[in-house]
Amino acid sequence: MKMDINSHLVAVASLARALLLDWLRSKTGAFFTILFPIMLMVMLTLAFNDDLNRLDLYVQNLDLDHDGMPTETSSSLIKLLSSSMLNIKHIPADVDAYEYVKYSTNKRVLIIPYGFDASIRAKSMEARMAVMLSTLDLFIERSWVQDGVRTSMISGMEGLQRELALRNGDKTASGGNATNAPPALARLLLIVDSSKDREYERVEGILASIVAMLQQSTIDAPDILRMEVKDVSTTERANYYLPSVLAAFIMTNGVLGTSGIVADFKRRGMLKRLMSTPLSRLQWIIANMMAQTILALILASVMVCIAVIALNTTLPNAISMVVLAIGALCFTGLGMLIAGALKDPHAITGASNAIAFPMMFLSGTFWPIGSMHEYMQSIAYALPLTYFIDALNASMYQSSILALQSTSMLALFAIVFVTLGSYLTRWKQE
Amino acid sequence: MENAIEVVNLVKSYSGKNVVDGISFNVKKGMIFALLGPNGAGKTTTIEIVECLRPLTSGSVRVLGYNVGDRRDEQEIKRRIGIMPQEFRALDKLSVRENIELFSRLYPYHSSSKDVDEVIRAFGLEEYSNVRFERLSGGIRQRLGLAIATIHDPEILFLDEPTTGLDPTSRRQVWAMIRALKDSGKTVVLTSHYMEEVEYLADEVAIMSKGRIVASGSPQDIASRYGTGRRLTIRGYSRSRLLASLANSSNTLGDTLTLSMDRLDSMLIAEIVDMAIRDGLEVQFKNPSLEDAFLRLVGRIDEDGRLIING
Repeated sequence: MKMDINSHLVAVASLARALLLDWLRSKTGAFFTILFPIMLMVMLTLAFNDDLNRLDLYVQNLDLDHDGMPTETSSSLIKLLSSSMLNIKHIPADVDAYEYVKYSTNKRVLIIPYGFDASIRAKSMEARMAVMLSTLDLFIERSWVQDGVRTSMISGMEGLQRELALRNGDKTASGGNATNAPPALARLLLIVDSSKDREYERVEGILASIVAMLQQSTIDAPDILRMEVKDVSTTERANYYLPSVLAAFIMTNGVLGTSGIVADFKRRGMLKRLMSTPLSRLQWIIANMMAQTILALILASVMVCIAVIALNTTLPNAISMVVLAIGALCFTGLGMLIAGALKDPHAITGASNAIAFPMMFLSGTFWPIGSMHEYMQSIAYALPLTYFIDALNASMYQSSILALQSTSMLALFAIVFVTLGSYLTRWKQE
Repeated sequence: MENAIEVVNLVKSYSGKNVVDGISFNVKKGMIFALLGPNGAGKTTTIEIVECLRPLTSGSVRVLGYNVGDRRDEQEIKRRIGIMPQEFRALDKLSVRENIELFSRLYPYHSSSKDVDEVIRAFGLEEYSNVRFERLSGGIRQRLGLAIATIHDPEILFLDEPTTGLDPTSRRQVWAMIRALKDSGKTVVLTSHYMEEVEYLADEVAIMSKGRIVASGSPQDIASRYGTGRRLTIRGYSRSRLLASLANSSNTLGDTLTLSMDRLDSMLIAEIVDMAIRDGLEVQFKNPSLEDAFLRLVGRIDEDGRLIING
């Protein structure tokens, strides 16, 4: 009575189906497998949205005088900002504003660059001179003043401009070329992360009106001051949480689910019962992997649908499904490895929790790895979940080529875990 | 009659200690064979070796002509045996039918839905067919365990404590099913703590103690060979001064006096019975039983009802 290929497949598929049904029919299983990750994704996405009434603006003033005090114009700008709807907070000059915005939530930074005051004054003087000269030209045209007066007036104004520049610390102004180069445009830089900041457009609008007001108060002339916006986000907000929460829950389902099934089956004698049938160790492992992969794909489909409909994320591509399957295999392998290495069912559960939960927090599920301490970052890059999140992120929202490196690492972990898990799984009592 | 199972000099040791110590026995095809022994006697280890669930240390075990220990042969053995573990458990969230279907598909030429229906009917599980395992009572679970053990039409059935924890009605239902399996030509290997169950069901018995077989034969043979003969028991004997004078530590347990009728003359027996009845005491005559033989072979019961193993 030989077992043909078809019988082997039927045995594996039946066991995988049974494991899946048993898991999904459990109310707590279904809650923690499907509903909880969705709730977490929605909660995280909403939690890190801005409060509508909170319009904080962090200002980094780099325009300081020789004594380290803010220049007159930058102070005026800050006063103007404070009198608006914005809640102004200051950050020190030595902080990297880009990193500050990128790795924190609800933060937008306005940088007042060094030379802001000088540029405003120079530009203002340039505008005033232009007005005076055009007025003078009008007087000459109408023969109200002589042409020689114009030359001496221009020379006098250029001298005044140089003196102003020197007073503001512009050393090149003393050189002969200073007067020839047009003064630089005064710029403000607003750094935002649109993936985390839904209010940045409102803040930008308020800032634009303040800039216009400042221009008017200086002199009613355009192009004295310009504000640039730099968006440091690489993804949409929900796009950030979808892959990380998805990866984290596929990991916990794989590790805790698989090791939990093995521990439970050991405890209840079910594993012994299965060992007494013609089912082989390999079939048992494959059935578990099939069940976990299908579960991962179900979870991914439901989460993606909700994220697309409710949180307006983009639809992931087919390659990310392959990454999901590799991830499911990897963590099912890890679950098998833990269950195979330990005999005591209680120890299996404890060890799985001890591995899965720290890994979830250390791999960038809830915050970017870049925001963690350096030594924590080196731990993160030794964990398979980090590569799973990276691979999912890249395959979902960036490019398949970017996903390749992380996917390769994930696949490597999967091969190691599955091989060791298979080796350590005992299909006989001692 | 051909042997279904042949065990020769089987040894299983852990850390140099033999928990199964060179036992040999045969189980003939079509019979019900019971393996008895106190906890720790080595019977579960022995059965699990025969079931290909544990490796043996030395000796040989052949099941239906296939060698235990040979990988290919073990696959053949597993296809031809059915197992019902003690306190059978299945997948909690799956129904009776789904659990039967699952196990049927783990065997080659798995059963059709018609076979599943037949098994469900044969074991009286029709009304529970769509009920999840977690909601079944102990008796129904054991019936399902038997149904699953037989779904692939095995030649040998291993039943480990099949009626433990069941009420008397359920126990008798399970007995009837085991008898029916025997009548259909199956070989049944049974382990049990219930002597009356073994006496009722088994054709052959082997009693194990400390890894060795200390007695084997039919239940009646063992009872007459190792039992205590016909006995007279009197409950509440301490209330009678004369009866109390007959008591010593070897013939009393609690307030019950047990006297071997083979050692007393019939006149004295009549007198003792008469005295006991006049004092309103409970008197019983007992024939030799497997339980007596078992107790004599493996140990004795102490005053708190615990089994004290010999030696």
